[in-house]
Amino acid sequence: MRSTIYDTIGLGLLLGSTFFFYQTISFLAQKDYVAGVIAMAIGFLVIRVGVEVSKLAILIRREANESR
Amino acid sequence: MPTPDAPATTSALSWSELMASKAWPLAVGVIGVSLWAQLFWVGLMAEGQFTQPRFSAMVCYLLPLMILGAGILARAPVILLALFTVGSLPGLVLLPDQEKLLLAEGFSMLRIGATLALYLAVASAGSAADVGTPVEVEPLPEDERLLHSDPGIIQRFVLARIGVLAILFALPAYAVFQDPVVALALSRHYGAAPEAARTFLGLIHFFIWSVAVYMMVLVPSLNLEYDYRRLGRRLSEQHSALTRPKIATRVGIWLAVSAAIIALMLGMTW
Repeated sequence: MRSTIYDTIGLGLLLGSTFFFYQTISFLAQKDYVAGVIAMAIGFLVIRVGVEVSKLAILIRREANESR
Repeated sequence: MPTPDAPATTSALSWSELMASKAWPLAVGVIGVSLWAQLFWVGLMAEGQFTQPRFSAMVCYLLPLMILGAGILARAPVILLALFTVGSLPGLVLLPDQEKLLLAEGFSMLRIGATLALYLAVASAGSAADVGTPVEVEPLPEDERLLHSDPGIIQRFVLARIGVLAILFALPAYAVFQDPVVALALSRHYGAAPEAARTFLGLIHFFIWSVAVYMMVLVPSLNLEYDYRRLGRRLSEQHSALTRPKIATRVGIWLAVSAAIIALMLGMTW
């Protein structure tokens, strides 16, 4: 159960990064380059966290399997 | 990634030796310069023909080359993978409209994307201070079940992320090419050449998507078993070092930092 929650959060974060990339495009379309680069950096950081949380989900699942 | 299987280990070491050899700097240099030339060569030549070349634009065009050289010498992944790609963005911003439109013609975008993917793969394979040093093979405990013996986990891990990647491609692509709000902003802020600006945004979108593929699917899939075990080791180390006062101190610090940031943001808003 815990691994499913972490997996869902990880996928949610990966999906959530799309919002920041959409904002990046919006900012760049308005010639706001600084805001665009910051939004892009946040998007990549969110992806990074999402990947780490997904790894945590695998770890928890595996430990649960081993303890059975 | 070291594995207990002898053939796989030999293969991994051979690849490591190849990446540690002189072939790697040459390969990264050739692919990196090719990528740079596809993006900036025409712009640089055009700048040279202007009666008054823009110094800032020429510096921005040449900046990725300097970063590439420094990255190859230092074998530093941060320089080659992050700084090189981010360092290309100012040059793309300053590229004249006509050159931006050239980048969208024919199969140019596809060619640039393929070169970027090849560059990321080769640069990441050989860039690290310890590449080529003997790898200490860490045998798995006999009773430990390998992740690849349970393909369902990896299939789900990779397939779910490929689905996310499809959305990550589709939504910004919609924003660039279809969204009326973005189209209005483009015509308002890039009145002279909205199509060139759209091509620029398309390139940025493709860049974001390529890096996301690398971060979300390629690297985790290649290193899943190794990463998972390293994470397990780190967590158990942290778990054994954590005491109740330490946890309370950390939570207190984070709460104080969060409260300060929220107060600052509220102060800036009102």
